Amino acid sequence: MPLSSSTSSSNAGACGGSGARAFWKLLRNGLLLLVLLFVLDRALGALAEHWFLKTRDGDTGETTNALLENKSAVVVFGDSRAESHYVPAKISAALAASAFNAGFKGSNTIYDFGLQQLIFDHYTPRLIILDFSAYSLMKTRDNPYNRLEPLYPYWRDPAVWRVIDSGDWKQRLTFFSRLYPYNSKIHSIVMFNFMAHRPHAADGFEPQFGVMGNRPLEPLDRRPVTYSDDLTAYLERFLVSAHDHGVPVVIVQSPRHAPGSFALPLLIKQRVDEFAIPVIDFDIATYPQFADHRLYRDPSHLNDTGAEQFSELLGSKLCEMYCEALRQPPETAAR
Amino acid sequence: MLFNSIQFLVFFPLVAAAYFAAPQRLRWALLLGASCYFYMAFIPVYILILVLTILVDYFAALYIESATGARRRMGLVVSIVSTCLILFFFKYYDFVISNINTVAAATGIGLALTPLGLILPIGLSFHTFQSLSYVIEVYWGKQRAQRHFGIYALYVMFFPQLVAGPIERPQNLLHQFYERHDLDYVRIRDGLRQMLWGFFKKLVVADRLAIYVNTIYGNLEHHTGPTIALATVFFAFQIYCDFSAYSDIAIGAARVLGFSLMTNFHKPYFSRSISEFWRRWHISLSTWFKDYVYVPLGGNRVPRPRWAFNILFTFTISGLWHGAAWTYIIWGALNGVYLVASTSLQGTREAVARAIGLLRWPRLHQFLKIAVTFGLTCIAWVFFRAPGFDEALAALHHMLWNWGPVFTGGAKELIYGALGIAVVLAVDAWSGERHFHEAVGARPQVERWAIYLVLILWILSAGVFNASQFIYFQF
Repeated sequence: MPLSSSTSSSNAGACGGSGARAFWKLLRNGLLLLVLLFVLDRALGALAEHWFLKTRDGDTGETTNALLENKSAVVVFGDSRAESHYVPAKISAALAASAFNAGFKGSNTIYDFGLQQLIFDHYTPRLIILDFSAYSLMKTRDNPYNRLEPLYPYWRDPAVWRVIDSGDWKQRLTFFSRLYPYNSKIHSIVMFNFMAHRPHAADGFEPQFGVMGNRPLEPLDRRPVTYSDDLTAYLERFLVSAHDHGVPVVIVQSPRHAPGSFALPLLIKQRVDEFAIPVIDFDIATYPQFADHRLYRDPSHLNDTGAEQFSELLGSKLCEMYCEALRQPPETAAR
Repeated sequence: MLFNSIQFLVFFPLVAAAYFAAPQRLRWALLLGASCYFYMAFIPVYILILVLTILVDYFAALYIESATGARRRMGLVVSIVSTCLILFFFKYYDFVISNINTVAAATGIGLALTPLGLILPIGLSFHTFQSLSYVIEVYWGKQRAQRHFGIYALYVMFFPQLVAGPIERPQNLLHQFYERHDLDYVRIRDGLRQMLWGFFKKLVVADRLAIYVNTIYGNLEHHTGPTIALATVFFAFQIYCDFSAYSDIAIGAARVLGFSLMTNFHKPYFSRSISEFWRRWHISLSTWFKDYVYVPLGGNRVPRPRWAFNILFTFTISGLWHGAAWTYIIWGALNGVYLVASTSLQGTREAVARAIGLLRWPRLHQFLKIAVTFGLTCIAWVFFRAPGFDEALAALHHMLWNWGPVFTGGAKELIYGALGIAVVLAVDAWSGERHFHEAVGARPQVERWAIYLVLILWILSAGVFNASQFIYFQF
């Protein structure tokens, strides 16, 4: 049998009061609670901000601090495939320039654009590698601006705020809280600063370990995908902004355990032609060495061994295209 | 409208303020309007389905009350069939069609019926059952038919419990719409406290656990047995925190407005047997099935084989109530098997406990009972959570035979998840037989306020704010 619901309200009349008296008591206590909450939120938010900016490692965007600190010459953008495919050490060795993997799992082009603007507010990289992912352009059921979460701690940066501000008004409301921008980051703040402090900044690379089963190659999953106009527009703005800052972009389709690759949206294709942006497609029809299942964790993600091989190959290709320019001082190269 | 959305944080205070400001004679209309708006925030046109159910059962109840003999019974049958037809059409039609097609294909019959692909109206099973409960109670003569159409519509549509219960009984709820509820500080504070605990469980625990659970159950073939076992334990707490959070917010919101809804969860994972678990889990549904299915079938006052059938039948259709898929049916049936087996083996279990000397350590004995009950429910949850029957079997197979390291996925989600579970279990243990809001209410003011502030700041710093639906909305 169901237990009866709370009885604590049964004596409400005796101690609760009613009407105007109850209303004023409710108002007074509610306001007092809000004031206390406001003060604690500001204080804890300030502490979180202080320690977050000292954090250089974590899986919710904390490595961005390391990128802004190192001012890496080559920056990789993209989603989980970028995050786990591009080994900065390999690319750095091939190009003789510092490299950083700013790929982030589950990200989309709004995040890429916001991060790019944050970087441009701090320094101008020499080369941008964009790992093209159809998934970062697809319409999703959730609000695509939610993917900006790793950039929330940088909300004070005007460029980042402009991107957040162009999203949902409900999202903006949450920034009344000073603690909220550090949501889900308390763990890495504590781990990095107080428990497992690492003196060297991370390079953003997150290898995936394990080997997928030896299954026959299946064609690329080409279920009808609907690219979001909004997300495509952000990718266009990303390319235009890089062009305006004089930073060359190279678009890469890193290997998949499936023949074929995704076509660029028409709008992006036009910008690619206009800015003469090179597109390197590691389709396994052209690069059969990447048909080996032992290089993958799953059909979409290279494992650590695959990432090393891919990054070496990519590094040598990029060197043919950019080593000369990267050897020039930044001003000369920009011209 | 989702409880865990900014819209609700604006909607609810406005409705509450308007409710207390409005004269008594208009309050039902205000609540009905608010409930319509609340429901139409999902898919507006689906309110027509609700209106249809309300109309059918409103007039059916009036007819049943005035009729006698076979006509009275006919009124009940017409009401139940027409109400259930709506449920069948939206929820079960495609399931039946797909099974017919499967059988036809297997037997070589050239039949391929087309599924409708309709989107299930949110909470359809909940308000259908609440409506049925009213008509049956009127038929049994335990409830007078409601003359006021608006009040009856509000009984079905009352927004706090409209989409995921608790499934109320007319005797508990209907009369409350006629009562005057004044602004009462203690009641409002109690209600808000219960809502806060609900928000904590949903945003900090359930939705956080969901990240790990979805990762693992979305790629079962890639994960080891211990990983799937951990994800299943996490799911057990995810669904508990998700659904009990909804109930807490619903009951708390109703309490703020002056209404008392029935308790839906009472620390189910501290149950020492499956039968106790079902007295503590989704109480409003369990008692619904008990009152309107199990007891009319004869309950336990029948020969043992018939009693076992009654239990299995009741639990199997309870599984079907949850969803139109074989996994839900198996989940329900499995719980029925558990209950029959545990009741039948009660003497044997006690004899074994006595023989191995377990009765000398009552605390250990209790703990083992709780652990075994939890383990059995977790096995059943595999069928509830897995995307299909084959996947559920694969998950169980992996758990038994595919041993390897646990996937940590950066450890963050594991740490947040484990911490959330620990807090919920600690609060459930600390509050004893009381509910959270009652236990907190018994503490000194400084402690109470400290608890409020910690919970709110915890939500801000570790809550998941993607406004995900409550799991039970889909039912």
